[in-house]
Amino acid sequence: MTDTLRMQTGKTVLDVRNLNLTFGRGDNALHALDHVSLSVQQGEILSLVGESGCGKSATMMAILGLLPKRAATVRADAIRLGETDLAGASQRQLRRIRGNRIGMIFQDPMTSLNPVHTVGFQIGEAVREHRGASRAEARHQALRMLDLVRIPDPARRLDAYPHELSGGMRQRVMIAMALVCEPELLIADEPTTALDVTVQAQIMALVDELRVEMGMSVVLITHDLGVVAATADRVAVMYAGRIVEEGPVEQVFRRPSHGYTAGLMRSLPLDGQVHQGRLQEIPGSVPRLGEAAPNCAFAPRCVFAKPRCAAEVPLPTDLGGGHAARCFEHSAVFADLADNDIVRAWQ
Amino acid sequence: MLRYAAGRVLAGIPTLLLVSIFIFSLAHVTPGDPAVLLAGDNATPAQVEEIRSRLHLDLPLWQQFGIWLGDALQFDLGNSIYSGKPVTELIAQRIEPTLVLSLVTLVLTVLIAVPLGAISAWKANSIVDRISMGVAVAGFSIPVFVIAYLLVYFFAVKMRLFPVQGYKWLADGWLTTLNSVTLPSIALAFVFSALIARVTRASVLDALGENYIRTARAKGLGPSRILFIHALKSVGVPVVTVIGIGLATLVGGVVVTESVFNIPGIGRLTVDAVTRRDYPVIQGVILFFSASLILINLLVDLSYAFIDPRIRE
Ligand SMILES: Nc1ncnc2c1ncn2[C@@H]1O[C@H](COP(=O)(O)OP(=O)(O)O)[C@@H](O)[C@H]1O
Ligand SMILES: [Mg+2]
Repeated sequence: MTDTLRMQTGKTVLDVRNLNLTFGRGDNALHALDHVSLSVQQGEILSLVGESGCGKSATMMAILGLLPKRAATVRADAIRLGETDLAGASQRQLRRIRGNRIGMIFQDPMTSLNPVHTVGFQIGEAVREHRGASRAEARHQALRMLDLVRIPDPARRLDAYPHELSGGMRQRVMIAMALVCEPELLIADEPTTALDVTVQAQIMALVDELRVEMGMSVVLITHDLGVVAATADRVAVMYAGRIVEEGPVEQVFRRPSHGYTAGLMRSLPLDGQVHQGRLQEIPGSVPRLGEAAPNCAFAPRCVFAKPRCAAEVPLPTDLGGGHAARCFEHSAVFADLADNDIVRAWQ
Repeated sequence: MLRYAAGRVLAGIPTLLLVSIFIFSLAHVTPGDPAVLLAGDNATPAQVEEIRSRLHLDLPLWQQFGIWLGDALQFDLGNSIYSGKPVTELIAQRIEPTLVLSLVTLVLTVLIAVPLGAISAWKANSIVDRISMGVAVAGFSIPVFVIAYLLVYFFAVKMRLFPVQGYKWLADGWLTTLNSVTLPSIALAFVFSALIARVTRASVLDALGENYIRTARAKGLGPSRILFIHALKSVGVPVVTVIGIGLATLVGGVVVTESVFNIPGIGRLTVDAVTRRDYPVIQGVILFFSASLILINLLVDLSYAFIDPRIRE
């Protein structure tokens, strides 16, 4: 990979410790996140991968304080952005973080922009909010950002409405909007899922270029292991509200150590083509949990499962080099995949 | 934009024509011979015949309609049977009070109902929401004259803050005019606000669930910007539509309110004309109200394009 471009200084930008999230109460409660811990170093791309509904978006929304207060109960030992504690922050304090120190882009650029405001206005809003910029200054910044995200003829686009732009252009506008205050962290929640295959690659390349140019870190949410392999430095694999395996991309691809990761690897085609929804090719479905699973939630679908997997919660096993997996059978998983083509390609 | 506007204006013409046919036939399907009615009790048959031919009542209906429409296009709606004055002159004299009353009501309503609906949506199911929507339902279900009399009793009779009735013309100073229409406008706004507040609440509640609101929140915007700049602006079309509908239903309310408060507007003119079976005047005010509604519709349509850029093409 492009190792020479990485600017890892060992400084931690985002650190999340034991994040728990429950939707609703009583019998209807849904335990969406269980002891989720993540950290993002300066300049790196951390990819959060897992199938739809496993809690990827919820993790990020919880960090930003964007979940509905009434429905969601968030508990965490710590959520730190640099030196700032987000876990104990008020809504007012969080507001000063959002769009300023953390930018966020979403899956659906078609509906994520307000149809009745110009893109220039919408990009400039964050600068006016966080920097107290004048209307003219905000417009100037919006123009600079449109240029930065490589939108042709930016001066003319400034006064365009979202419906006048293509999906790829709208996602560029979303990126411009998220980055206008030069945040230290960009959260990209499946930024290319709704786009054409050719546009997907362009958007990912743009995110990567801007990361280097602006020296920011990125959390890239995806359900596509191919995207992880192509762009991320580290990967966290999520299943049913838990991080089941985490580590540098090379390590995880070289030595997959969780039954679920193994399943993802097997369903990854070698030609590198993007195939929507291929994570669903693992038989079985994600359980809905009223409370934290008392075992490995993947056990019922896992080909390596032993009786112990259905009875106990596996704690993270340190596999060296920052690589860890919550799997009792990690050795068996790796042994089985040792001659997998992808694994061998990474050796 | 211009093409859209021209299209909307042209679309109003057939409507106005249909309304004219309706108004014209009104006088001819109601029982009783207008000529006999006009001539009075002691008229000779010759006098009746004279009236009949002067008013072209002896011609075939379609010719009568042609003459009537031709005159109407030149602002000649005939003369009042009661006073003999031209109908257009009678209407022109009465426009000011009705216009002032309607405009003050409109401004009052929009200033109260739209923010109230938006805040109710933001605080959905809270105490604020329940109280304001409760008041809205009450406003909707209590007849306007009841509210009018209650307002008069408390604010005019008891507290003497406003006149009990009557209208002060603009020529005598706009402040006294405003003072004289305050109570009638509040009475009307109370009824009118209910519908608008509820529709605003429902639309904003929907909008708050949209992805672009999530984007606005992720940008770090505060509640008032999210609510008013993002959610409310994006539901401008349904809200303006219901304001238009409200204005249309306001016509009935204006007639009642002008009677209660003894305001010499078009509403009073209508009531007087109906009680005297003064057909030319009845036709005139119906045409006036219809044309106003068509104009309101046009303004609503044009404002769509102003609010929502997607409609401009
Ligand atoms: N506002 C909410 N209320 C209740 N349940 C929710 C809410 N948001 C998300 N969930 C549930 O939380 C789980 C995780 O959702 P999400 O984080 O969106 O998954 P994904 O990994 O696809 O981004 C899902 O089961 C979803 O149904
Ligand atoms: Mg998601």
